[in-house]
Amino acid sequence: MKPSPERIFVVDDDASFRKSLSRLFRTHGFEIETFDSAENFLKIDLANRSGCIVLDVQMPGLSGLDVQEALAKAECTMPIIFLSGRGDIPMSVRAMKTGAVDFLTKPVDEEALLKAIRSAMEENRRYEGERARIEEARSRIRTLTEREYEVMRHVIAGKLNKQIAGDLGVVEKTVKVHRARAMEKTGVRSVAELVRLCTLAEVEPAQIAE
Amino acid sequence: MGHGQKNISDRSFRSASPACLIDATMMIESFKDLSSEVAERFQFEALLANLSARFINLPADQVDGAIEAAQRQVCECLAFDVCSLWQLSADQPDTLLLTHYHVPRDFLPVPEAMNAQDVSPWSLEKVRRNETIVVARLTDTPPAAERDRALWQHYGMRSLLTFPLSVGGEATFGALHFAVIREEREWSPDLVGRLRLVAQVFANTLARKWTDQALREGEERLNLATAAADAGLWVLNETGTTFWINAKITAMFGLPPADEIPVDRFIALVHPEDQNRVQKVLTHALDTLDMTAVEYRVVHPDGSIRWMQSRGRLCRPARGGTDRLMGITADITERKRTELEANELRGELAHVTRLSTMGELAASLAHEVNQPLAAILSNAQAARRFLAAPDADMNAIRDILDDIVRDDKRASAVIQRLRAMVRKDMANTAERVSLNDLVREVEQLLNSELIGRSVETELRLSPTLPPVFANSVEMQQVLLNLMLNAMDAMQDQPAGQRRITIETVAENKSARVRVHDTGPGIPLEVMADVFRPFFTTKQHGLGMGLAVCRSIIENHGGRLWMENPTGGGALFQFEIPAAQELPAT
Repeated sequence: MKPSPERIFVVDDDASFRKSLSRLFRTHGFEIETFDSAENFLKIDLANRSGCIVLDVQMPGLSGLDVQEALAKAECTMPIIFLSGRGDIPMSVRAMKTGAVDFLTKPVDEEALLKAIRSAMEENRRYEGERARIEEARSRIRTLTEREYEVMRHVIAGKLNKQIAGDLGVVEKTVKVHRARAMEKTGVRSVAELVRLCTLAEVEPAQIAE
Repeated sequence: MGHGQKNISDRSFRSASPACLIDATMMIESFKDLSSEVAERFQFEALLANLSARFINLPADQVDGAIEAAQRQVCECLAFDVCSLWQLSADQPDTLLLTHYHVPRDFLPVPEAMNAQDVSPWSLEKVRRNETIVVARLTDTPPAAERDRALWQHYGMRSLLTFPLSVGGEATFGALHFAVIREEREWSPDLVGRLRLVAQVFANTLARKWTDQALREGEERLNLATAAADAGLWVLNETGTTFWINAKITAMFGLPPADEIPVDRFIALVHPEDQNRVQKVLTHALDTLDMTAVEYRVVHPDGSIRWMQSRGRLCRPARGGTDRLMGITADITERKRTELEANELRGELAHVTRLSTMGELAASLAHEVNQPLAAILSNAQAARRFLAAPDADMNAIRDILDDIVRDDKRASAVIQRLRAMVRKDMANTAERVSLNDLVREVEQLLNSELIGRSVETELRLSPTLPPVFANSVEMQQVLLNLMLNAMDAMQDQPAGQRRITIETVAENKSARVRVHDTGPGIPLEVMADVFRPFFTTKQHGLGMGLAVCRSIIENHGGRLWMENPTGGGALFQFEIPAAQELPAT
């Protein structure tokens, strides 16, 4: 799937501020989408969006922090830049701890804002690159049969063929065949490479028997 | 009937005594040749004319004597034996009081009061119905008059005539009773008609006497009251140019003794700052003949200033003439001084609590200002970039500048509201204000606080709410306090269930504001204490909020109270008298 172009999503209940911010971002060549409430923003299909979010902390209804929570639940990794009219420290700490890229106080300076946007976009790209690699690893692993997958989980747990055969109740020769197939299908040339691939795809190694 | 009638006429003529009016006798002398019937008529007409003339403008204290004299004259002139005037008692039902009478020298004793329901129920009933009782022979009366007959027989009465007494179509207040003992007498309709005139003259005279008495009592009471209140009396003449005044007024105004003072001169004595207001009240009073109390300062010739309060009302002169304005004026300097001192203290306290409230709101208010400032900054930065472009889009820049101007105004409006709230406002700067406008203002001021605390508001503002005469800053302080209290009360409610409903209600001659929250309500055990100074349920509260609110509302002539309505939550409401058309500022 081709990712959509990078955008800044501005979520703020103040119409005047939304308008001025869009204007400024456009002069810097960004694409902008604005929302007057957290609720309206969360309605859109976030899985197909890419970019960063400029989010007002305090809005009627759901707050900016509520949005952050909802995005985390939906495994949306888009970076968030919080804007607050009342620079409260405890709130910014909480926001930063849960992964906000930046926490800025209104009125916000152009340079500070652009810097935050740029690093957010960078982070977004890094996330997206990572996500692409994970997706690649997972798709390779999905080509394995159940038996090949099981053998692989034992291999990355550091077991010898003989031990694997014992654990799975098969002859050692069969293990050798499955192991060679798994390496071939996932396109790795060493066990070390296989371990890296599995880590990326979050495949759990098999439990080591007593 | 014709025969009998002649007979009476002859008899009454014959028995006319020399005590009859001289002019009547003279008239009879000069008409000797006329028939006796005509002569009798003239004689009685003359008596009637004389009575009417005498009773007009008779001083109240001579009325009783004049009525008894007239009763005697009529009896002597027409050869009657008894003439009695009875009045229904105001206190005891069915009781007739004998107030005026003429009886023969050897007559049986007559009680001063009798229960007519017991001794003459038939007559009482007829008199009440405003009917005249004409009895030529006792045997002519119906069986229902049995008790009445017994009474008449007791006094030896053989023919009688009773007229109800009433004035101007009002209820009967008594009866005029004529009786003949010496013989039976036929009553000609003509004679009955003329005697009814006598009854009417008596009735009118008595009514006028009561009015005079009431008026005099009223005057006495007024004099007593004004003396007790240390007040002066005045009456404005018909043309509205001169006050008639009593001695107290001249003393209060530091004037030499005088009976009147031209209105212009009076206005000139009023403090220059109050002249306009007093003049307006007077003009309004002359138009409507009604005057609300007005307080103003008077400058004495020695330069000292005294506070006066004048109030007046329509006065309808007793003996005709046009309505005019009369009233009293009192020196309220002492009261005013204490009032001003108390007001100053109250104002200080209100200011201090206001500052503390605004302090609590500082973060929200900063947000309120930062919002437009943030928009201005981004717009200005965008404009700078537009200008840097090779072919700057002037239209876009103009739009940006318009937005900047609008946001700048938005920010300064917040600051102005803020400044008004923290300003120390000692003077009594009351003005006509709409509580609806003030509710909207306060909601604006609290906008960020409401959002920050997830509180929804609902305004139900009455379109017919009358304006009030009030200090708008203090009114906003009350609204602010009530709303903040409501927010505090709801902080443990889940976010979606925090709601403040502010309702304004147009009452008869007042405006009411209701602030209702969805919190747990005020606990019963502290209900009596919430308005007490230094009472607080909050960690950092001064405990002055509601005490100050109540003193502000009471200072505006209103009241503030609370209840836990059946639907839940706490409901605080206050009511302030509607501003009158006057005094205008």
